Amino acid sequence: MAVGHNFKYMIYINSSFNDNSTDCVQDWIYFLSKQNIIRANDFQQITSFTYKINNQNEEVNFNTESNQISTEVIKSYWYRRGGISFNNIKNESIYPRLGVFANKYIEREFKFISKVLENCLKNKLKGINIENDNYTNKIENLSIAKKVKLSIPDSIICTDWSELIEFCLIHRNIISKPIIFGSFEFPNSSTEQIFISSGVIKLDHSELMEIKSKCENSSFSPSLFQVYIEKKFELRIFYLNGQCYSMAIFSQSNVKTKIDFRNYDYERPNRCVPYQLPKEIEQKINAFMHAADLNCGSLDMIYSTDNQYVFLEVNPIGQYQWLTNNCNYFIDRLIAQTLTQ
Amino acid sequence: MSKTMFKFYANCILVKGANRSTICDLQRNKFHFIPNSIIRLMQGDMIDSTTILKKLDEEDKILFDEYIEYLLERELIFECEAELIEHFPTLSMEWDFPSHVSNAIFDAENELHFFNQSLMDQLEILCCNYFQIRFYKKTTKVEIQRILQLLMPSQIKAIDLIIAADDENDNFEAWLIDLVNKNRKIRCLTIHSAEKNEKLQGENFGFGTILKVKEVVQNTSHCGAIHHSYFSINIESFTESQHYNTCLNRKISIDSEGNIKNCPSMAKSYGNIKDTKLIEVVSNPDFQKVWHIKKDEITKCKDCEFRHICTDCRAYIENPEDKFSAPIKCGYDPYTCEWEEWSTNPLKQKAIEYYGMQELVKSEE
Ligand code: SF4
Ligand code: SF4
Repeated sequence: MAVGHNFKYMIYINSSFNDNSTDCVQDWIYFLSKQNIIRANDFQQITSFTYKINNQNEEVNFNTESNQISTEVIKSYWYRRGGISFNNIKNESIYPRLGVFANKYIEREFKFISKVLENCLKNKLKGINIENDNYTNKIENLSIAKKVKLSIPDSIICTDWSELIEFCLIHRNIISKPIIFGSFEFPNSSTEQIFISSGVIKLDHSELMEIKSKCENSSFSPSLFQVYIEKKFELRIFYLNGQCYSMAIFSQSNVKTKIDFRNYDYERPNRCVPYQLPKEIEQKINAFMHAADLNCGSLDMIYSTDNQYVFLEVNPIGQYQWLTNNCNYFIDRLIAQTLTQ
Repeated sequence: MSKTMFKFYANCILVKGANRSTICDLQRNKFHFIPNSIIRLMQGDMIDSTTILKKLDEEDKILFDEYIEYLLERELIFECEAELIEHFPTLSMEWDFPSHVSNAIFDAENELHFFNQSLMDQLEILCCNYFQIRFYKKTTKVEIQRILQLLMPSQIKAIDLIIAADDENDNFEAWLIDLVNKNRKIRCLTIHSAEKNEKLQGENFGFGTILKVKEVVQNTSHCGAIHHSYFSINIESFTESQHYNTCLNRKISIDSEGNIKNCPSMAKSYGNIKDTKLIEVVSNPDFQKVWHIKKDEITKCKDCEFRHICTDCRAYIENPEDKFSAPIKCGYDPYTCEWEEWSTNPLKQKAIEYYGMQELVKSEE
């Protein structure tokens, strides 16, 4: 691979075409250091790939249609959106059935090689997140949080009505949550399915029984439920390499007001102010992020009416503009500094 | 009242004036007035109502309770338990911006001769992503096209354009509307010397506003007006005003003759764009001096409750000999809390004459 002088110390950013945060970070990088940036948008297909490992060194070189990437010239890496993938070779064999099996085999191989690529980027370069962080496991994270003694909401994944009803009786108000990303199905009757999308739904016992009465089966596909916790305020924490930048969000539901607003969210957005977590909670968050193998992420917590900091979830590649703008934290600059130092 | 400790939300900030104060709500972009007598009872951003009420007589108690109610209703304060006080820090007053020059003004008569690729390259080095162009006289479609062709592929994110109305130019208005809608870097186009004030088009995601104004913008002296409708109530301006001049900080400009200045209305030139590089001027500590004149140091403004939401002007000031004197085009008196017409104030006549603004003042009347 030919390496010209201007290729020295490049920063590789994987993002999407219209991601405003990436634009802002690029402005800071350019202002602070004028280092070269390779920005790959959305999904990039790898056209050629080399990985070398020996007793002294480990390196990866790959080309996509628009870029040449080598761990020998890239200094830091930021994964934000999109990703890199191997060309899906469509095996049009004369034996169609063989082709199907061959493709399956190749796909599995590619998954492993992608992992090798990401690990190499992670080991060799200063970086923020990797594509694989997208697949962080919400349930596993609850278990990790418990291990580091962050308080978590009582949770249940179950398939049987009886279990769910018992859980609801103990906790009175519960919420249903998607286990992974998008939506999951809730069988309403033999012919009907309710699609519950990523939103969180609050249910009490009678609401739950009503749903059950419409449902013929005694079980459903595994679903996640948690106790509903009354909160004083919500917390959003941006975490990067050991540092926490926190914001308290006052939901307006508990505020009574005589003032009439036409567009409530716009004219009267939730109060969002900087927050300083107790040292002890920050240490636990740090331990959690280490255990979850994430160097950057946005954490959701609540401060409950009984004065507990409760961990809800972490989004490895979160939106932080809202937080940095309201709290004047300069997170774009911080990310740029992390990548250029 | 059973609740005892209240705290201002960190983005609702008290600014104490000579005679009254404001609470600047930087999140919801509004300000509220509050009497200084109430402020005196508070400790910084904390209101300890139990202690305060003990000190007040019956009448004042009612008044005080009403104020607390007012502040709570507008969500400017919240009840804060003692253990949580230290966890709600004040908003950082840091200001920073990823540009050596964050905004520029280029002035022209009919043509912006110095606007070329070399200028664009210089702006890029300075990380300047925004500028304003002001045409004092009628320009041509060709000239506007030429400017846009240089600008569209560049790093420039947004521009504002001020041009003169031109009835003789065929379909000029329709052509302009089309142009603004096709080139999504034009934030606001203002057509001056128009037959009437009119909004031809509103903004669309921050871009594409087109305004017609009757005002005749024929030279630099139109600039620098201070009015409460120009106040900018947000974290960025508020924090910048703590440390820097809210008009001139990181600004550069080139007047219609090519002179590089802090602003086209100022006399001092730091060289001509023909033979001087912008970066040389920007790095000159002399050039940067006005960037640091902040409201807290300016006569009158330092006692004004609007000082951190008000944009400054350093080109037209009450006493041209004193660089810390107040903007002449401000009619506000923070000691009486009254707005009056600045141009007829007898105390300002000498300075008005000095700047040769008599004509402008008359045309505004
Ligand atoms: S200093 Fe005054 S005249 Fe100059 S640009 Fe600012 S407001 Fe306008
Ligand atoms: S006195 Fe100063 S700060 Fe107050 S409104 Fe006038 S110019 Fe602005």
